[in-house]
Amino acid sequence: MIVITPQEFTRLVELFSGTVFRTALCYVKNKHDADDVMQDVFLKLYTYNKDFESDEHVKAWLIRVTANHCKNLLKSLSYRLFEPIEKAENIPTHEEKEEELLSIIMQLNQKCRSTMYMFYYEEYSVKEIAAILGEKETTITTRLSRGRKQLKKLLLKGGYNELQ
Amino acid sequence: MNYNKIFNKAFSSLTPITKNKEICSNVMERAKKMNEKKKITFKRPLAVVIAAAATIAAATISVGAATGWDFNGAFDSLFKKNTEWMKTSPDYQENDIYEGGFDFSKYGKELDLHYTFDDYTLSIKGVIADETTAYIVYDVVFDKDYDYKEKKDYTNWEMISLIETTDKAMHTNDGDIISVDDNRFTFYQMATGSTENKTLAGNTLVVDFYRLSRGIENSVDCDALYSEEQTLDCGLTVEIPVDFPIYEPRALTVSEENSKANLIDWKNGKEFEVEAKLETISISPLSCDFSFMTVIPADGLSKGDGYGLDDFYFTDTSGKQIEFHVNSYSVDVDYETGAMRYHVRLNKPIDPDNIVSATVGGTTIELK
Repeated sequence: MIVITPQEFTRLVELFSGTVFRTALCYVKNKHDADDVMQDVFLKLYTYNKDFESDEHVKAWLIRVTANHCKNLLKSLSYRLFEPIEKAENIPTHEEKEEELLSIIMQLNQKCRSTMYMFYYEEYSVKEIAAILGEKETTITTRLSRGRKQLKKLLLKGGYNELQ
Repeated sequence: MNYNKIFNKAFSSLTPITKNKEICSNVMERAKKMNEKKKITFKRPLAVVIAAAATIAAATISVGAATGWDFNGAFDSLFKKNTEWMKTSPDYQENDIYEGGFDFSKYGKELDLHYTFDDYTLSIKGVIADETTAYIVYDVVFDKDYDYKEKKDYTNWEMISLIETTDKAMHTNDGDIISVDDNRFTFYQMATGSTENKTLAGNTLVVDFYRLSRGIENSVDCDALYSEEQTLDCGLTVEIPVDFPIYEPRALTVSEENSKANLIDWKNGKEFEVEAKLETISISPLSCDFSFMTVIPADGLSKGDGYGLDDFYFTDTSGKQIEFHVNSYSVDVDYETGAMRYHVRLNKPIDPDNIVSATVGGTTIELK
């Protein structure tokens, strides 16, 4: 059983800040917004008044809250009016090759992108993603199937004949 | 494409702007202020986490008998389709394309399972596999009175499906339409997985066919994948035990002489050579494994780097070079010892018995 004490919270931030940040980035496509979302999500965790069963339970909760938070942000009028500058540019995050791949992934449809991230990076199963996001399994598999096709096209277009 | 690898490469070194220590202090400070104002509003209901999803009932009407289809022909078409796109590649060479003629019937299994739905029949035709890769071919035959024909601006029909092994070690990697003949659409699905102490032999492939659909791609609205969609539900789960002979790899130990090979280390987007010694090779018609012992460079082997194979091709008994544009490969690296193991999935089948040498990392090794 995990009770959110300051010590426990610090441990969970160490453990999951990357996951929350990357999940948020899949939605908002902007590093600074993703960072803001991450801090808001951890605030929710810190002020959440229920206990968790395990680290995996916390992780799944964080991903779900991050997804919901991002969806609300994307829907908000102010966000749409002030589209972040980074959206139209490369995301200056890390090395050239990785940056190039990330830019390609960011061209995917948002729903496909976040679902593929959870499946291929976080290694959740379809059933788990469906449960976390509150979607049907068929929706998740549709996104994976279409995401793969979209990504394959984008990678080939970007000169990735084979992944090296 | 190896999607796990793509996502790992793109995301693994991404870290938040704010340091963890700072996150903690910021959050605690904000929480304190909220508490002072008594405005704590984040009491959300407990999220539903990793709950068991509803079982998908197989909505079959009938499971029919074999209809005498062409097993070899079906898998031939699959690999032809798999290499066809190479024609558009700038470094295309004639022998990049699989021309057919491989005998798939030695291994794999003819399934001929037929499931009839309201507007179509799904027939799972057959499966082939090696230790880490499985291909399933199936047909969808629409009823003649159903509106299945090509429509302007519509995408191709796609079957939304997923393959997993019961131990979850392998799952869908790719799938597409192989061919269309009037109302008969032939599809394939490929599942791949790790080689680490796992093999498909004795495992069970669980194939979930969710639905058939097509639509008009929507590039404007990011909330909608397709602006219009035509959908047929399927809801069928089929278990395929891997109780048939799979392609066993031909394992070869490389002799000490002439085993020097160079690998490529992509460091910060630049290529560097890493000296290595090829130790073992194992080849199956669908994939191959190479294990190397590298000479660890002075600055070490780094987790963020990509390690690649250069000059990878086989030579057959007639002296012909067989080159590959690999579907995907995975690399296991032991950063301490420098041992590297490459698992390469091939986009066209080969007969390991016809291979006389492998050229990898600039070195040709005779295979005995």
